[in-house]
Amino acid sequence: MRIDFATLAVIGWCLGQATHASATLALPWLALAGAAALARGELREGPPDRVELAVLAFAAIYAFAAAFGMAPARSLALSVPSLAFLLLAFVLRRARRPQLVRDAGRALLALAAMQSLQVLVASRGHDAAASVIAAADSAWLVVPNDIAWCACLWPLWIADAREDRRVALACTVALPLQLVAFVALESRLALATLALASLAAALALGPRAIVIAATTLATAGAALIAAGTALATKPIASLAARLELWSAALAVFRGYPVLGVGPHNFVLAYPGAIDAGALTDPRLTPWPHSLPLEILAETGIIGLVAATALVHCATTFRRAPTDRLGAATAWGVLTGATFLMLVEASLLRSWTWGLAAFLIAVATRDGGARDGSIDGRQR
Amino acid sequence: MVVNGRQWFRGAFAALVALALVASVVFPAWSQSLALHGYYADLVTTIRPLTAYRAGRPVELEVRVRNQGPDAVGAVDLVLSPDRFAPGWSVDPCVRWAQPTCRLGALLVGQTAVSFVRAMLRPDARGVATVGAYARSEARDTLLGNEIAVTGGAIEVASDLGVDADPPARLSSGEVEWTVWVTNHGPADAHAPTWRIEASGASVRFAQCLAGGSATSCPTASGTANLGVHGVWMLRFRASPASGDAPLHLRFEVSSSEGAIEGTAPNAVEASTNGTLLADGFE
Repeated sequence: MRIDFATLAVIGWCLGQATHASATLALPWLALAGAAALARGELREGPPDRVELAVLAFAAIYAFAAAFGMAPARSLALSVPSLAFLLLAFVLRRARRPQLVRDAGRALLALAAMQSLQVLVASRGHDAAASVIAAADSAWLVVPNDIAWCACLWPLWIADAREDRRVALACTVALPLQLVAFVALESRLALATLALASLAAALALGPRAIVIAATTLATAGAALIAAGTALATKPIASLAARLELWSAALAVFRGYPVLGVGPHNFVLAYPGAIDAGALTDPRLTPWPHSLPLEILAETGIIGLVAATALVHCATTFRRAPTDRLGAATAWGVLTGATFLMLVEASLLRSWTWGLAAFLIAVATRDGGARDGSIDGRQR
Repeated sequence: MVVNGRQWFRGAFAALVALALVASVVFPAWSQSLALHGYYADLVTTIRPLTAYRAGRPVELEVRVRNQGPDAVGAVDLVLSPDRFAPGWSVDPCVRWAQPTCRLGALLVGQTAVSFVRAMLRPDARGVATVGAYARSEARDTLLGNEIAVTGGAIEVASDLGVDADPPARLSSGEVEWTVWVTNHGPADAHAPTWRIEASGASVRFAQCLAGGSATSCPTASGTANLGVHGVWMLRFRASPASGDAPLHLRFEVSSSEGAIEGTAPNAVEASTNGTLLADGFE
C-alpha cells in the first residue's frame, strides 16, 4: 500500500492537537510530512488561485501588523498556529487525493471525541469548569467555551454519517460524548452554536426538519433546566461583559485605525482605551470575544479588509450546493461557524486557525469550482 | 527572472516548512504558552502584619500575590527582603528554595496565592522594622510597581523585668539593710529602666550595686543604664528608721522604659522589719 504523506500530515496534525505535548510535536510533523508530500508529487503545483492569494495577502498584513505593533515579540511568539494554518490550507487544498478533506473532517471528529473524553475524565475530580479545562490538558481548550468549535461541525459529520456506516457508528458515540462535555463545561455557547447550526440546517431541509429540530432543542433545553444543572442557573453577565469588550475593541481600533496594535496585543491596549475600572468583568481579558473586532483592533482596517476578502473568496469560489442535504450542511456549518466567530473565536486559539483552514478547504476544494484554478485551469 | 507556478509553489511551501520548523525549535513550549495566553501578567502583591513588631519576638505576616492577568504564569517566586530580622524564616505554604525566596507555583488569571510568613525580630532590633515582598515570574509585568509591597512598623521593645529580694536585716548600727535583685528575663534589652524605693518615715541610700556580679556605680532613682537580656542587678539599700527599733516598711518597684512591653514577672517587692516579707506580682 502506498503511503500518502499529505494524508498523514493532516490527520497526524489533527490528532496531535489532543494534548499540549503532542500539539508541540504536531507542527513539525505537519511540516515534515507536508514536505515529503511535496517531494513525492502528492501536492498539485501551480500558481496560486484567488483563495490562496487572499490567504497570503492576509498573512502578509498580519505579519506586517505584528512587526509594527505594540509588542512584536509577543505577537510572534503567540502566532505559531498561524503557520499551521498556512501549511494546512495549502496541503488540504492542493492534495491530489480527493478524499483528504473528508478524512480531515473525520480526524476532527476523532479529536473532538478525545477532547470530550478528556473533559469527562477531568470533570470527575474537579468542580469548576475552568479547573476541568486545566486538568483536561487539551491543546485546543483554554477556556470552557473553546469546546464550542466542534458544535458547528455537527451538520458536516451527520451528512458524512449518512454516506458511511462507520462514520455513523462513530457519530453515535462521539456526538453524545460531545453533548455531555458541553454540559460538563457549562458551555452555553457550545449549545447555542449547536442549536443555531441545527436550525439553519433544518431550515434548508424543509418544514418537517424544522419542527423536529425545534422540538428536540426545546426538549433538551427544558430537560437541562428541569435537571437544575449549573448550566441552567448560570448568570447572564457574560453578555454584558462581551458588549463591553466589543466596545473596547472599537476604542482600540479608533486609536490604531490603519494597522492596529498588532496580533494578540488587544489586551495590552484596551485598559488604556476605556475605563477599565468600570467593566462588568474586572479581569483583563486577552481577546475581545469577536473575531472580526479582534482583527480590526489588532490588524487595523487593512487587516479586516484582507480577512473579508478571504471570506468572500472562500464562500464564492464554488457554486453553492444544489441538493438539499448539501445545502443544509453548508448552511448549518456556515451559521454555526459565523456565530462562533462573532462571539467567541480568537486569533489566540489554535482551533480558530485549524477550523479556518479546514472550512476554507471544504468550501473551495472539490467539484464545481467556478474558476477551477486548483488544477491550473483558471479562467 | 521568470518564476513559473511550480517554482512559486515549491518556494512558498518550502519557506513555510522552514518557518514552521524554526518556530518549533525557537518556541518549543508554544502550545503551553497559548494555553497560558503568553507572557504578560500583572502580579499584585500585598503584605500585612498579623502581629506586632516586638524585639526578640516572632512576627507573623500575611503575603498575598494576585495574578491580574492577562496571562497565567507558570512559576511565581516570592522574594522577601527583611530588615532587622534574625535568620531563620518560615514561609508557608510555598516551597522555600533559597531564603528568603520561595516558590508559589503557577497562578492562573484571577488567582491569589496566600502565604504566611513567620520571622524573628532580632533581640537588639530597634526603631522601625520593614519587610518587602516582591513577586516575580517569567512573565513580563504589565503594570510595574504593584508587584512590590512593603510593610513595616515601630519595634516595640519587649522585656520582662522581675524583682526578687532578701528579707531586710537589721545592722548593729541600727540601719536596716535590704538587698534586691532586678533581672531582665528578656527577650530584649531593657533600656533605661527606672526604679523607685519607698520607705515611709526613713531615709534610704544605696550601699552597694553589682551588675553581673561586678561592682558598678549605683544608679540613681531614674537610672539610664541598660539591662541586657538575662542581666542581673543587685541593689543593696540601707535605711535608717525614725527610731531604733521602729518597724520599717520598704517597697521597691521597677519599671521598664516608656513604650516597652512588660512581661509577667513581679515588678515590685515589699518588705517589713516586723519579719514579714511580701512579694507581689503587680507592677
